[in-house]
Amino acid sequence: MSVDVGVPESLIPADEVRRLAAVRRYAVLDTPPDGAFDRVAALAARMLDVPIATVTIVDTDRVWFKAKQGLGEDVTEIGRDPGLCASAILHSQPYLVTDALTDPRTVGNPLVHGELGIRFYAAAPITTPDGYRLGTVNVLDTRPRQMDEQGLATLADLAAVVMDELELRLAAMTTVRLERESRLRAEADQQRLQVINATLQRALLPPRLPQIEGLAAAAYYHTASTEHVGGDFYDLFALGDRRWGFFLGDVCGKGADAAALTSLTRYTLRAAATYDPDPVSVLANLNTVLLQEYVHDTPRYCTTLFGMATLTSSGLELTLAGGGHPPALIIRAAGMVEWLHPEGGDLVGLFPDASFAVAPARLAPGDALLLYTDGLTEARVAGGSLFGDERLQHVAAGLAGAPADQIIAALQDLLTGFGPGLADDTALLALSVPPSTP
Amino acid sequence: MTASLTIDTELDQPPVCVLYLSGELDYNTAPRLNQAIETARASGCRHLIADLTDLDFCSSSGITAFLAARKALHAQGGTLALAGLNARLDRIFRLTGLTRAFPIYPTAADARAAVPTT
Repeated sequence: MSVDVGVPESLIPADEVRRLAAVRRYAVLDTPPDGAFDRVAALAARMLDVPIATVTIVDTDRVWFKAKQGLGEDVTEIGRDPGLCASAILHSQPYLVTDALTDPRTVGNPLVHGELGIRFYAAAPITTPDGYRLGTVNVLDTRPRQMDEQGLATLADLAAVVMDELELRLAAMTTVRLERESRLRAEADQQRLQVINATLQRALLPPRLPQIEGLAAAAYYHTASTEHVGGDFYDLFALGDRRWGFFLGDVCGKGADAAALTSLTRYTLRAAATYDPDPVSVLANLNTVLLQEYVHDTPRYCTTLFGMATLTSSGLELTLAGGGHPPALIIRAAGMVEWLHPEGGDLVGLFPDASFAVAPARLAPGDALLLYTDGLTEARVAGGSLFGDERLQHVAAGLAGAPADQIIAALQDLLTGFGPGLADDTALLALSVPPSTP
Repeated sequence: MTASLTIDTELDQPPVCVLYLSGELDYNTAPRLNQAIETARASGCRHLIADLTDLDFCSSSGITAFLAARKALHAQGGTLALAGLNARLDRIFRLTGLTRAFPIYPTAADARAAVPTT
């Protein structure tokens, strides 16, 4: 890449493209006057006892004054002419012209030969930590003079002060920019996450339960937080020959990991159910699959109730297997409420030798079965206590004889009533056998 | 509703240490348990006892934290014991088979007495 802006080739440093990039990086060109740099110029003039001092930045085709002392207000920049600043930045050490009229380096420089009549010039480069010379801190006089090592060292120190100041500003600008970017990104992520979560949740839940002749089914999923996808799940699916499989459960954790685990769990249960008629074997299969996921310290487990049911002329015969999940409820048409608890089932996915319990049940016409996750029973009611099993049993008793959709609607109202007391995701699945028509 | 969890760590008898948990252990507070366990392990704790006498609530996230700590401690030849489970927590642990994963003692002192001495 070449830089052709009418500046003599001899004034272009070998690293000019990268040097200009560094100049741009500090974003100082054409900024308004600034106390910190003005003080450096004033300090240079006073310490070195000269009438003129400037802080300059060498741009593509111009030398721009960031600060100046002893120069008129109207002088804001000069051309990148040889002899002074444009030459000074070619050197890593301070640059000294004791008499510009006789010095061959300044021949033809307009500051020397023009109205200003500069005779003396001393400069130290402003050098970035990565070695690019942005400009100079320099002093000028209209009469020839000398400058000792100490004077040049002072200029170098002042140039270092300017560099420090530029670094500080860059750091501040970068911080502000990063902060702003990260805030914008966080907002975008947040929105994206909500969309993903909603999509995931839709993907993870069956869009609607199948219509089954002789069996009513309804479900509800309450999402406690749009930020953290919960890990509750349920499903109801045909196994053929008037047989149905259903399950409901809760995987550990929240968020994307839980969502992935939920998905794995659902597909495993459905797949296993199609070729194994024994609910305990289905859970054992899931246990094996989840154990394979438990490779790091964080366990991947779930609690679940998994059932297989057959519709008969007199109702629904079912076998419910449980792995670490709260019991299901049977709501009898006559008003009795029974816990259906496959007692002694382990969490699924924790133990290689896990055992799972099984409990049989029969639903007669008008009876219903309710499966739920512990978001329901562990919701806080007024006063701070947990909703608990007893209250649930009481509520269920009031729903005796109701079809599945009415049971779910009533519980949905109950959940809504918990307000902020409902901290966790909650899944509900109800099955009911329609009352026999006389 | 903001759940709160307090953890007091008793590190005075390494390699045995006791964490006293009070309040609620859930999705929001479980990371603090993880951290307390990490700190204890970094201080040389190999046999950790969690005293849950004053723990009012323990969600599945809390159980996950205990399971993860158990696995990490076992890998170093250590143990994790639980003590002082209230009736509800005891029921959950029995319901889920977790009583097989953790030695459970009535009190932290009982758990301490059972720590292998080798």
